[in-house]
Amino acid sequence: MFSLTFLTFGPIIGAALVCLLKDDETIRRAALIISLVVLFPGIAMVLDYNDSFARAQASLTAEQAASGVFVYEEKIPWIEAFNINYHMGVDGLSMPFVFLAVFLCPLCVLASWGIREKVKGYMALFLLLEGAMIGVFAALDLFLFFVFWELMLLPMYFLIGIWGGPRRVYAAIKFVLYTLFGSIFLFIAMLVLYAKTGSFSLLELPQLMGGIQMTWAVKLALFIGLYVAFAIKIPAFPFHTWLPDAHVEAPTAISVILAGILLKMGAYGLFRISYPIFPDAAAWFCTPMAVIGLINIVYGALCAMAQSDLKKLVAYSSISHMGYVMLGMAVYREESLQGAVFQMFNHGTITAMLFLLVGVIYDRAHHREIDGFGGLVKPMPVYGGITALAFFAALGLPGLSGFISETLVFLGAFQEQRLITCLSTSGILLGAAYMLWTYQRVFMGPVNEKYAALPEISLREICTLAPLAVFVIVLGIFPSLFLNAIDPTMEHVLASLQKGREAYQATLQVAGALVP
Amino acid sequence: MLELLDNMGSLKYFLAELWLVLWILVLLIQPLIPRWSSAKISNCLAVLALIGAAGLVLALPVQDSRPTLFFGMLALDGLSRFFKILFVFSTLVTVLMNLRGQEVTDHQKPEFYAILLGILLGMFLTAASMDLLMMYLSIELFSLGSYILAGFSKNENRSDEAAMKFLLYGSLSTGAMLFGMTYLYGMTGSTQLLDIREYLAASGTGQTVFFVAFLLIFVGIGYKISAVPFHFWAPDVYEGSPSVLVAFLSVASKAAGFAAFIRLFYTTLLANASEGIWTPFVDFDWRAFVALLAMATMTFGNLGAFRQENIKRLFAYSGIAHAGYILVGAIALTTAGVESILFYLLTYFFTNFAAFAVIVYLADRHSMETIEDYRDLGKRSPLLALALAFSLFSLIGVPPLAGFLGKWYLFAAAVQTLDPWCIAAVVVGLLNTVLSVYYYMRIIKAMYLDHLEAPPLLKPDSVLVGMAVVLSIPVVFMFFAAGSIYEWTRSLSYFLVS
Repeated sequence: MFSLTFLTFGPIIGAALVCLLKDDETIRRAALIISLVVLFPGIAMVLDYNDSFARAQASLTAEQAASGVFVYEEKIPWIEAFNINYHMGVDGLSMPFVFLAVFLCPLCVLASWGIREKVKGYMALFLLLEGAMIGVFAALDLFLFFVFWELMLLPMYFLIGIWGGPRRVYAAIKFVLYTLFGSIFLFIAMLVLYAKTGSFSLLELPQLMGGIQMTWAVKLALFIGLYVAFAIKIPAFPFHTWLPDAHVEAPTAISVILAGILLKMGAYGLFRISYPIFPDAAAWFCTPMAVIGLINIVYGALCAMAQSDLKKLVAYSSISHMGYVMLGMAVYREESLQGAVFQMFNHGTITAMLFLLVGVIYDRAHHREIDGFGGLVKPMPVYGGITALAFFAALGLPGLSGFISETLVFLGAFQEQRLITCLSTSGILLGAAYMLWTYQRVFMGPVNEKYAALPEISLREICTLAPLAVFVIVLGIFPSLFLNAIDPTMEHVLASLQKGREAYQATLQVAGALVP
Repeated sequence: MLELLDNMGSLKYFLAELWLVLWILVLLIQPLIPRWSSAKISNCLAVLALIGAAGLVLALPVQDSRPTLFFGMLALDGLSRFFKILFVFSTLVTVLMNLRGQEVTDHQKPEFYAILLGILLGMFLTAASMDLLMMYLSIELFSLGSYILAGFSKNENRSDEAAMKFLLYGSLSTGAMLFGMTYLYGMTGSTQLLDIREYLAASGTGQTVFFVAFLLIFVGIGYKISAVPFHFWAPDVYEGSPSVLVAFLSVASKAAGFAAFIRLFYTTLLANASEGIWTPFVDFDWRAFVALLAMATMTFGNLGAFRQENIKRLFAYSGIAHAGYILVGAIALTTAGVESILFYLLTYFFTNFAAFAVIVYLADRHSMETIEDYRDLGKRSPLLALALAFSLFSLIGVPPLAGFLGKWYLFAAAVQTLDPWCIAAVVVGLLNTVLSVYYYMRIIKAMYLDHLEAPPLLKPDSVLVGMAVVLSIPVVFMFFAAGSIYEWTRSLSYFLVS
């Protein structure tokens, strides 16, 4: 019916097709059609996922299932001399994000309708980016993962650097240098793992790691290297400084992709690569990770509160929200791990809405100063309403999806990291404070005369926002739709993490020291 | 087993070289005949000569017996075959780039081609030589040709300067190399690499003099591959010489240096212990020595490129940095390391020539040589800009482009040894990759992110634009066949003692 190869390479081939077209309007439509052509199989995948997964699980022996259950697998040898395979497949961890990517992209194409300059280049690069993103989430071979991971850089550089704001060149090169710096560690880890085990398969590596000799220092060095590579993408404190620059300068749709998908790749990489391959080092890193999560939550929120630029505020709120993900990942409880993955997905939909909303007002007023507006509800009541929904979702109002994921994270985290969790809850308060304060300054109060006649949000813009709003509400009321799908995979992740923690504690007891 | 062929028996494996000699003579006579003296005819003759040479090289038999020609002077093995193929196609690309070039004027063309074929002949011999004297002479043969061609733009001061610097540095370093070779001969009593190998294997340990000898020889080879600290000639020569020659030097001359490097050091200095892992006969830390050189080479190369405004100078430094990356493959001291060097040179061939097709076109036809001149190229000539952008990304090593695959093989071969020096070199190499992003991106930024009000128009040139496109196709799509191309280089990586 569909294949992950089609999802990945459909947009890339589409990018080549777009290059052949002439007229700007045709190009926009073609890009939209291509992203929709990829969306429908994506929807089919989500609907079919639970059945396929159950079937795959039933067909595997217990031994095979030990390396995780994957569906829609495709595997062809690629570079045989190095045992590199073209291996694609998804499980409960990656499926939501493959879907998020195919789902956000048509919306972003719609949101990019206003791009006037070099439409062809923009759309081609955007589709290339879409393919690479889906590839990252679908790759089950470390080498392939790395290829897609790096491939994203090129379109991103140009999309920020050509169509961005006034300081776009600076922001684009900063983004590229930061990410490439992180990739070095990924590259080295990949080389060392290959030299030790002779495999790149993300399915085999966790098992193979058990059979080889590797000193604790090497393990730790590799784990921390991988952590740095992924932390830059998350972005975790103190590697977050590229994010505000990139977000502020990027065009709206690219901000959406950055926040909605690229930030997820960091946490996904930790889940998919660092945790299964180095479960004992991960156990060692639990508390530092929780502390970094706490810093992200509180520091991000405080920074957001201090911003005068609406887009920068959303960027910092992203940092804060990703802190919940890290806190959830630091605790080995079913609730918090599920909460972390759910929070990643919800952040994708909610922050995408926020950036789209900022884009809407920026297109009209041509600035984003929070204090420069006032009383916008009057000229734009619908816009004010949708913004209220997005803001409430972002601050974690019960009934909306963000609430569920944050609560799950706290539920799990409190059982192990009491102090840190208690401190982190202040993030909820701070979040409510900056969101509501911003809403008040922009939408309430006396109408700013300059903007009394702003046109209401257009149908095209509503089309970009409404699907996201549906997700925010539906998943807020029926979170089990999401949680049930990822549950078997998360159980498997949890089991391997707990095994890692036991191994770590056993070595601790033998060594009788803090570090074995 | 090794098979020693006598002079007559060797000739049938020596046809490509003889063919080149024949065409050098033809190209020397051609301008003397009035009716044939047009540049078009010399273009045709050069292309014909090279196509013939390519055919003869490709038709060389692949033999298990691994004969040596002329009583052990030349090898007939996979390594020489690989390098000959690389050289002959490099020359062909260079000639094609020069078809309508203006830097080399029409009446200079016959000489230019004759000397270029002479250089090619020297490189053929370098790749195959199994004897110190043979190696020295053949390196000198292709070096001398390069010195002359560097000064070929006679009316330009900087071309004269380039040729002079090239010659002076070159003579000094080949002199040092010859000096080192005399030590080897004095100690071992033979100029044959295989004899030297035997001597070293039997009684090489504990003799510091061999370190000195190899160090001196490395001066000459380091000069050819432009390794730090023997790289000072490169920026000036690249900036001053005719652009087509720079394109040729940046690929073929470097490859010839590595051919000599692999041949000499792997044949004489290393024992093929087992499982493709090589160990040095001589008991000093050869690996540490080359690792330090590699790290210095890539770091200085990249740092030097930072402030360059002239594209050709920038590519000189980029070439230095890449020599450093390639040396990482050499410190692995494994067969996989040799294979990865060959593969990298192949990717470098496509990448650098694709970039140079653009650079030659702009420098030769429009005198555009600075980064500033490249502003808005994305709009002025989308195809050229795209080809250059792909090759720059490939030079950075962005997957899945060819340069990434090459770098991947190099670094993977080094890390597989799990030796601390290798891992240190790989880490430094990767940090350097990030450094290099900055200056490669400056060109990309100029091409796509800077806008001109009224950009000057570019005259179309189908040959060079076509070449830029054709050469960048493998750069982009090599990953499809990465496995089989790697197998091909692997099949050619065997040489006499392996």
